Amino acid sequence: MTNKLRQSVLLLLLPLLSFAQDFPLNPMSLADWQAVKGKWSPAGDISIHPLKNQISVESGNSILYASGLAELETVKPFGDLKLEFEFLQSNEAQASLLLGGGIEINLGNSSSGNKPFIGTVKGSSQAPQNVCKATGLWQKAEITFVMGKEGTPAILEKLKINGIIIHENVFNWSLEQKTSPIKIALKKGTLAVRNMAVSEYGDHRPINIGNIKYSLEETFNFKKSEAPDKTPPTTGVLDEITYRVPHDFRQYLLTLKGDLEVEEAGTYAFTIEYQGIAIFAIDGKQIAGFDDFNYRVPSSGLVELSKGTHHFEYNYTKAWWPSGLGLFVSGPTFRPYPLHGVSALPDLQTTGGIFIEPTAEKATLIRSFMEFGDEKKTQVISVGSPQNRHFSFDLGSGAPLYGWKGNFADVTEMWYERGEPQIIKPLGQTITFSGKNAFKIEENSESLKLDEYYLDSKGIPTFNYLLNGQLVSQKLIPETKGMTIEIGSESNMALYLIVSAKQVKNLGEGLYRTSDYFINVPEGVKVTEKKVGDQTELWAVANELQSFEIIW
Amino acid sequence: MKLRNITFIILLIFSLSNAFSQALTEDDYYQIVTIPTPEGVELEVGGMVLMPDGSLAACTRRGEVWKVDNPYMFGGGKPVFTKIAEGLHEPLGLNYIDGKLWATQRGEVTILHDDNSDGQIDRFQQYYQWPLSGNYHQYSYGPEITKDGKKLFTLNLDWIGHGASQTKWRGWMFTLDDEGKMEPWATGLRSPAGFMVNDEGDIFYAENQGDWVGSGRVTHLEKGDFAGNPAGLKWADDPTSPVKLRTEDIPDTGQPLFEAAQKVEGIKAPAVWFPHTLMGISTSDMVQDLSGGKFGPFSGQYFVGDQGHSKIMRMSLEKVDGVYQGACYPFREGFMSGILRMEWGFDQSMFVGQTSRGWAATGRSEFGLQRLVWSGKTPFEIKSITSASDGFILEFTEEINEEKAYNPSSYDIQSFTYKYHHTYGSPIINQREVKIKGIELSEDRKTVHLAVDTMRLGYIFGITAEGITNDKDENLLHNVGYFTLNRINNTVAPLNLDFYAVAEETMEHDHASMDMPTDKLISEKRINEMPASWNGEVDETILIGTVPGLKFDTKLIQAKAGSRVKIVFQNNDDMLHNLLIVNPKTVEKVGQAALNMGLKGPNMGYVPEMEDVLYHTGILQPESSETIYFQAPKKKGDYHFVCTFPGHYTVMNGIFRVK
Repeated sequence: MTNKLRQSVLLLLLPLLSFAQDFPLNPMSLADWQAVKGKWSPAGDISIHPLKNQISVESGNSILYASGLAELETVKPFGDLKLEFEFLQSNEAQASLLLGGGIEINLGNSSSGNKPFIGTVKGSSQAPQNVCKATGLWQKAEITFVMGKEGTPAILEKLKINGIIIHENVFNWSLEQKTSPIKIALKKGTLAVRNMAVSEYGDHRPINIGNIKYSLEETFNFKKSEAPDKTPPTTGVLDEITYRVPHDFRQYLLTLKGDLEVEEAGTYAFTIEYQGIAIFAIDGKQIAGFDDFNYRVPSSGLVELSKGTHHFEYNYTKAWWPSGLGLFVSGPTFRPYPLHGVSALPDLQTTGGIFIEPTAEKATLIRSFMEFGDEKKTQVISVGSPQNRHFSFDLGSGAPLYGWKGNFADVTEMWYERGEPQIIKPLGQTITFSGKNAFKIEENSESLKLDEYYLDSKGIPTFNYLLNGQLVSQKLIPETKGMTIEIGSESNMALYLIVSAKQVKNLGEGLYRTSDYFINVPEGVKVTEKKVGDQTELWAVANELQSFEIIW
Repeated sequence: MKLRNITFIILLIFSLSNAFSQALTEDDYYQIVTIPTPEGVELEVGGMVLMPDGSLAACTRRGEVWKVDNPYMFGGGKPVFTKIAEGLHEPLGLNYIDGKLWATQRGEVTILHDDNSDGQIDRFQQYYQWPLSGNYHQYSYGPEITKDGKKLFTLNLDWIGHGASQTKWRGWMFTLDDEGKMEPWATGLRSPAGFMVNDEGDIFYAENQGDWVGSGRVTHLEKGDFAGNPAGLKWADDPTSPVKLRTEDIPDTGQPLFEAAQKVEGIKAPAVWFPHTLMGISTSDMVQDLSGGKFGPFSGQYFVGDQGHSKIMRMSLEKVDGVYQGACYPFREGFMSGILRMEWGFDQSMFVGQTSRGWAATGRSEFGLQRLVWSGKTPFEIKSITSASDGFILEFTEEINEEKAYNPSSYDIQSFTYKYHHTYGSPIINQREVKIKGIELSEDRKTVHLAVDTMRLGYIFGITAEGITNDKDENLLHNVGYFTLNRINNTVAPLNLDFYAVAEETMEHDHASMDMPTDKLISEKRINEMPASWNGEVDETILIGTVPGLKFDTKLIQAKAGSRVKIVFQNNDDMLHNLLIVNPKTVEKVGQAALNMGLKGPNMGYVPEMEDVLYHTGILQPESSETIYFQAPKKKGDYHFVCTFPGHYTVMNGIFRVK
């Protein structure tokens, strides 16, 4: 890929950027890797049946795969790095990732619960929970690694698998302090890899701030327009980005303007993290922030900057929270760093956290609010089973929201102090469903109404709804491979939405695959496919379907 | 003197001093028994009901329902805790109706069924449901049962920096009939956690100080009433709404609520005000004593709990021209956490369910379950204060000393009221000393009729009977009551002042400050402008804010001895706070003094007049800030900064290190 093409791809990713740490890495081509053992073949797609372990391959050039004994390594050696890639395993796959010439991270298939779990560092830290997806699903690894230097060990700063942090800050004192290629080693079974991307993680700081001027105006009800006219704005000069400006206003709008000195032309991401309302612009164009109250959810934007002096403007309105504004910059070849002064952004008070694990024989039930995409759902029930398979269900729309394996729930934001967010967070490896109403009657848009739910002897609920006055029911039963969904309906006219997702691939014999999970529909059940926008929906007659499996 | 005589005198003095030193306390009359909770059970009581089998069912803020067997612990045994349900969303109401437990969660009314009778709830029936905004402050309560058998519920407002009604019916009280048909009843509610139906079928609810609410209070709600906070009026246009008022009808002038209610039909003034910090800071549940004497001498009266002050107060009501009014009195302090729920046991003891997570309470435990038991001994108390056409009638539980009864300086009466406006809380306004013109003691010496010089309608009369003693020369256990006067009671004839007038006296004690809002609180210890002599130079600028849970956002601030200090205090909380700089080791002393300021407290910003208070701000509204300038003490040491708003000082303080 040429530089220009790469940069325009990065700019396209603008809306997807959510935090400084997510600065897009440089995609690697297959040519950046070489086979040093065994045979690695290119392919377009690879399918492995989760239960039967059958492999089928489509031709193409976007993935590499191998079977048996094989090793793949980067052509170039690396020092400090950020790496991400996706991998897919067969049932019995045993594999590992090697960094820094000595840190070995387990990439083997531990989906049936066998140890060591995926992500375990050999001879060092165990993975705290099993986040391995089912055979045949793409898994994602994200790694930040720093080489050892004089007096400091090599550090595996962060290892994330399938979105869950597995390790943070694991030291290794015994590695040689030199660059080395990244290596993927396969011992047994089949492993496929794709979407590899890497960044050098240097310590240089090509962007600096200077010449900061501020203007402070009083606000009322957090709006400048409602402020009493009598108080004139105060202005002045600052050494650093901060809110600590002497003033007597009860509420205020602080505008900081200054220079951005750019040593190297390139694409950079600027992230603002603040408590209040903030907008950040460079050279007159808004890069990050929005016109609403925000407590510490970072907002980022990408921008292409030429070498030299640019101008920034940071507008900050204090709300009812204490003041706090921060600015971070990140790029493709260096570690993100703050551009604000030390006192500008208060330490985020982290608590010890309140966590729930199902320990009894029966499932644990928690009802709460929950974030689902852009929405805060207000009638969600989460069920945690002692077998470490859990799900969240939206009682409002009668639809599953999330399923996950591993640790159950983080309820700190529900039961710490007032619990203002009242939000539950899954702790394990999570798949997301569409959240759409699960039942419908053709040509009838009437919504579901919750009647009741009842528990079986294991504490698993069956949800009873009324659709057009008649009963429909759903029961999500956690299992080792994922979950079985049992449905029922008083009327033969009721249809059930099996799945709605961006890509749904039919692998034959009732097996389907989305990007995150498999769906196993009993053979012989008639499944109707419908395209709604960019989603593919699969429907079946509820009383014919009766049950199906989700495997992840 | 002979040795025998000396000994006799010494013994006499000794026995006399013993008699005087054994002052009786609340604990001698009403004992608090703690029901011990097993470790690991977070019994943050949200709702509570006593079951026919002698057990107690409690639902918690963490969504669980617990059955407590043997809660009475008769015979000295232990209670047994069994979790029977979970998965409810912060349920704050529980009742037992027709053999089933009914719980009110944030967004629905749920009937809990145990279909296989194994003691565990296995079916959760959604009986009624309403929309939610996702705002934590949308708490929901009920059911209580009305006199015509309907189920009664209330819904809290949202909090978005001020109260709001972001989804339908927040701020309303409504009923559900047997078919689940919903009928809105009244609105103007802000934080209606405690409400009840009395023996006459009348509905009352307790409100918390907040925006539009000058102080805690209990209001009688009739169909179509508007109780004060206008946020709920958003939904008054609904065809089923019996409320005729609209948002634009509500005045925001600061005139007392009673006056607004006279001018605007539909506004309902409270039956009894609970003066803030004197009678609690966050009124919660209410129960009526219908035991016919099994819970002491207050049969027919009411008990009102307080979350912040971990205490229960007493309330007596009378109805004049169809309008309720009455008084509140101190009753029992010292509960282990914040009181939320109160329920009568079959033996007329009172179970008290408690939680304080998120709002610090005087009782320092995170949660608790206790039982209040009458000892059988009748305390010497003001049994009730009722009104006469010319004043007040105080009935005591015992005969009182005649001489003291007829001495006007045995009493002190202050009248005052609050502002009615959108601001959070209110200072005490229009306070005036009330003179006693006549006194008559009843023949049985248990009742005193006090004729007074003014009977301002809508005002609160704080009546203290400090000088009154009984035949054993004991003082009253509690000597104060606060009477809210809504109507003149012409059925009680005035005193004949030819016989019962008291001598005119010049008042010696200084009047409490009248109508002095605290932003005008002037004191040399409160300098809001940089002193000219500083020439614009400040040595140390310190920013102090607040974080939820009654805390400052810092535990330590520092300055050099004698330096010029500027403190900007930002109140980010949803409550009132102040900031005082006090001498080393005097937080307790100053905090207690602030609590003891009584009616003078609000107007003096809860800043006691003491040498140990060096500098201070006024009382700050939520989301406001104040700047003070001062010179740091010359002597080095660990001074303190503290908020002396009642109930706060024990947790809201930090070190001001002078180096």
